[in-house]
Amino acid sequence: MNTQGPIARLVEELARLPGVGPKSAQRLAYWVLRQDPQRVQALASALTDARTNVQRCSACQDLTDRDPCVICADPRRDHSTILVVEEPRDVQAVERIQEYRGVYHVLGGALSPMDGIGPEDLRVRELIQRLGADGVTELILATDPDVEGDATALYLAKILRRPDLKISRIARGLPAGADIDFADEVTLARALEGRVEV
Amino acid sequence: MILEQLTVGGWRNLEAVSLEPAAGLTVISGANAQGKTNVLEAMAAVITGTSHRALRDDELITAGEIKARLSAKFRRPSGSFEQTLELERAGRKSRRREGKRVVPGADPLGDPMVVLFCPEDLVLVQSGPAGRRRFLDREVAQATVGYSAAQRSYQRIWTQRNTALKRGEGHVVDALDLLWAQAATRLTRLRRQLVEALAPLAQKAYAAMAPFDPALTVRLAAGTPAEDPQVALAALRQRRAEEEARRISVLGPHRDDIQLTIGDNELRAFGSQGQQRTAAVALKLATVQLLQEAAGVRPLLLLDDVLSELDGRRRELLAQQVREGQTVLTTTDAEFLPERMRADSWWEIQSGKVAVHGTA
Repeated sequence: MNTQGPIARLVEELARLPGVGPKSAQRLAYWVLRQDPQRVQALASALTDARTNVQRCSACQDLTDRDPCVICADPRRDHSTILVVEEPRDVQAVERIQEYRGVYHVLGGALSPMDGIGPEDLRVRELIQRLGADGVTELILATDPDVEGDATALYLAKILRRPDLKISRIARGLPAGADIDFADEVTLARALEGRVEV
Repeated sequence: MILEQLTVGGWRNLEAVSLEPAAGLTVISGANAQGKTNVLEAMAAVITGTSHRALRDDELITAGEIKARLSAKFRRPSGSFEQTLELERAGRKSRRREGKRVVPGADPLGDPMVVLFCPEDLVLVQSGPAGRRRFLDREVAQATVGYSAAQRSYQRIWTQRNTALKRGEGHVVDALDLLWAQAATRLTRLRRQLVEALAPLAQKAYAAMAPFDPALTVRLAAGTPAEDPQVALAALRQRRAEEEARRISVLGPHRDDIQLTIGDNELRAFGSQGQQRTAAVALKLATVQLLQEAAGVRPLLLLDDVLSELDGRRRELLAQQVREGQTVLTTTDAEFLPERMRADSWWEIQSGKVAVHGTA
């Protein structure tokens, strides 16, 4: 293939996408070239439009096209409870279950000293500000159940502790509908640790 | 569990070949640097997924090749299965059993196990504690479900915590302390249980080789002051000032060691070279027995050029183990084989080419 010119440039740009290697990039590029010009125009404008118009919600830090975001602006939601997550996609995951009526706070990652990510690289200061201003009474820590997510939750619990604020960590255990004998030993051990009285 | 067939392609200096080890003893002979150890390394790697001596996986791939592939057929009472290890120069690695990704501990019928004994193991007692921890992690713990997960989890917490100490992030260290206490005490408990199970077996094996010596005592010198997470945490917190000054975690399983004593004397400092070697052999033999007791099957025993390094009684005791299950050993010279050690299969290797010389 010609290593210069528009096709090469397109392949190179596509190969920057996460999970896309040079071969897939090439396949995608040829797909693009087979499409109607309008179709490609729609894709291109969707990309630029999303990037230009999506910003961070000044309250919860989630990605949104209006500020504050739909959730933070909704008066029917319970603004006294904040559920803390690592990434915007985690908000989507919790929203899908349609059980949670409070609001969110997106940290933008988890503490990982190895990767150079400290508290100042996360949106912790914004969270502290929200706790100071609004009548927040409950904080639910829903970071990932790995070393970094656990460390982040413990860190937040420590620095945010105060008598009028209930802080909890989401439970971990067996996936619903699964068989016990199919669970890996780490999950099973944690499920046992987190057992509840019936 | 018996290794019935090993097919090797693109591994070190070995020519592509399909080998069928005997259910008893297979002897591989050949001059130095012909590839004897490479065959044993391949047998161990297809079981464990890693080489016992390569620092990087691409060292294992034959020069000029882009990938290495090992395929082993194992037989157990319930049937046989194929397990493969594939390494690519690009760094990709895949371990499969019957075509599915290998998840250690997930097979209710058990995983294949291996104990490898090479000349470097003879200095297991003299060398640093890292070698003894590796021995526990890689060999002794093979039949312990959940061990490798506990070990990896501790490793990650420890690395994060050390970095947080270096970066001077006190509150982050505080958070990691709680995770440290859980992970460190869990791993300590697993290691102590393993060493406690190993100790009487090693003591017996040692006594059989050195009947006039005082008894060999084996215990875990734990780097974690308690097995109760709360107590361990309190102890860790007391050391914080020191940790902040040294910028490193001072407590935890990363400082564990296996302490070996003969009578009242610490073997590492006061033992003769003969005693230290005998203890190393005893630890290996005890591991074979421990795994056999835990899993009900004897692990594959691989002896890399160690017979020539051992004398009379020690060689005899090893020979006795050899008779009890599947063993593959390498030697430069058939003369090193004890009288009673009869090879069921004999291979000769020259410049990476294996020739099968006969089966009984």
